[in-house]
Amino acid sequence: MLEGIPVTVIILDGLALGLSLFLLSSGLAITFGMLGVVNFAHGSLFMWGAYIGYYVAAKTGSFALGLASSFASMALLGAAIKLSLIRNAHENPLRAAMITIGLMFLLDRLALIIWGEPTRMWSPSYLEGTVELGGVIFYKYRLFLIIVGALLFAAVYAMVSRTYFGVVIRAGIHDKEMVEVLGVNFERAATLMFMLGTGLAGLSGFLFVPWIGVNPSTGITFLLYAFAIVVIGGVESILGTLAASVAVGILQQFTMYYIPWVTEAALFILMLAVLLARPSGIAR
Amino acid sequence: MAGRQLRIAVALLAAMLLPYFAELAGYYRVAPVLAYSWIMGIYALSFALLLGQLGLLSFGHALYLGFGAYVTVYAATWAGIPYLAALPISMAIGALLGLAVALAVSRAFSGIPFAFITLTIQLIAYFLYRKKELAWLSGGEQGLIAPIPDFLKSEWTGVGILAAASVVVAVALVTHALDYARGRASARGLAAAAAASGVLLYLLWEWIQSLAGMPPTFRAMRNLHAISLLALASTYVFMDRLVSSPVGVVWRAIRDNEVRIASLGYNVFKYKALALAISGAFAALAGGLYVPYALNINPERTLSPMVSVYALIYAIVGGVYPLLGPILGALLVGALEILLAPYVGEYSLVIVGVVFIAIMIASPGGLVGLLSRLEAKLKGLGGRLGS
Repeated sequence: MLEGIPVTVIILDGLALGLSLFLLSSGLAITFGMLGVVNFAHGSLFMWGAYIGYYVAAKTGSFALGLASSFASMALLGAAIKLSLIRNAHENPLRAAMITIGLMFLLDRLALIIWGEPTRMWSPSYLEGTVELGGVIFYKYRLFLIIVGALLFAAVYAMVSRTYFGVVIRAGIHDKEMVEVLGVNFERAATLMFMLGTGLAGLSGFLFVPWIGVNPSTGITFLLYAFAIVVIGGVESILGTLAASVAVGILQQFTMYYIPWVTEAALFILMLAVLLARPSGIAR
Repeated sequence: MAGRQLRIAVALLAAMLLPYFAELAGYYRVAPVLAYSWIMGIYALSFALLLGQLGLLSFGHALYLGFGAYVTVYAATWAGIPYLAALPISMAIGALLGLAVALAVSRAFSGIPFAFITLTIQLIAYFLYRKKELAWLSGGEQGLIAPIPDFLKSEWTGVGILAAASVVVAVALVTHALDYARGRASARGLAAAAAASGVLLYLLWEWIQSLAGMPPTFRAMRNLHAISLLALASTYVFMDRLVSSPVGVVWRAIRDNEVRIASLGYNVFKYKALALAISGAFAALAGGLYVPYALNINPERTLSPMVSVYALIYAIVGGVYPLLGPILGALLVGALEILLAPYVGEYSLVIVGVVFIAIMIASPGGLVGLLSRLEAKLKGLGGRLGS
């Protein structure tokens, strides 16, 4: 019935979704790998970043300022959370997880009170509309997402694989005690990584504003996406997170076009299958 | 330390009469609020059993409550099974679900992986039940409408409640009298308790008689309050026995050092599966009792992640152990939301969130832990003053 939509468009949409989801999930995955802490408030930060970026962009008319403010505000909020609420998180990961569940509850409720239920959308005029490539019509904004997502992935990948900070992170995921024994300030690296992760979550939240918009319930929806990606991709490598993000994005787009009523269920059945087959991927 | 049983019985009678007293004072919205609190108390207990005894964070706990509610509706609408018989069926389904989850998680039966797997299972059910393609099963997002059960509307239910309350009080009194005969309890305590329960039973009789003349829907909510309270008390007594039995000792030992307990020859999986089945059964009971409270069962109310978050909030605010904690948590959070709402409006839930995080950080034992620490301090103070 939807034969009008070519498969290439579905795949490109999936790629756009997947790369944006990578930005959301990478911070969650790395923090989990380093500290064994699941941040249940990650989706709420995604949503708050989206709102802050939305207001800044709508007021100033600048898309770039929206991006910058969503990143900076959520990185700061992330630092506050890491340094106050879950300071000694790795000592009792379950307790830290429960604290972030409370934070999720709090932030989602506040968003509902402050901004209400209606979905807000905003996009810069130069990214609206469609373009035709080789006889197929694409949305400009989704192509833009693919480019931005790929660039940011390259940046994150370069940081993790080429810099000293990246070495500390990778070593920390592998063996935290050994890193500390070597005299590296592991906690500071972990805090910086946490900030980077929440900042990227806020940024990706704002990146979704022109596509699907933002409302108080997007937080929990995208938290669940991020969980699925972390579980499927594992926490060992940034490439695993990328592969899982793109796979989830494309799976979502295909199921949405062909059997829409199993869209979410298919994702979580996949997640459950991975969890049951390889619980150690997440158990650290 | 006379007559714990007797104190529970008198407290039960007093709690049962709360709506009566409130109505005498002119407040007519108390019975539904209390009914909801008792139901959530059962739900919180079932959740806290896993977290407190075994350290298992069952983050998909709404699964059992949700299916308990749906199965109760199915039993009534598909098979015409009366409400009271539908509740044990729901509990059996809840226990089976708990066992199924236990089998599924057998390779990752602890910590974060357990929380993730249970959450995922709940999410699959939640997202499927919301879809209009499954509306024949779930009623879609609007959910299913359940009529008020005849059992709750009947004038005779009140008599049954009175009889049940009388039996509870009689058993407690006889036990206490036997203790007295053996010289382990005081006559004064026995006489005071007997007088108090006599007065309360008489008031209960008065109230139930006055209900007979009321409209059936009005009566149904009051009956639901009493039934839920009896169910909560039974759950409490059952779980209290369970956690102080040898099974409870093994549970806590597993929580503290699983490897050691396994090496001593205990089948850790079986102990955990048993806890999950019991927890699932009681969460399903809460779901079944929730049906006549809400009268409209939909995925958002019974199966959504927020329902699971609430279980955690109740348990943490009250404390997971002793078992009074989760009940207190459910009561307090419900009361907080209602009492604060006129002053701070929607912010009451934000305050609940702040209280949750504050307790999580400052007093991991919850409110009960806080109270017992306070008690110990006061006792210490009293001791020093006395010497």
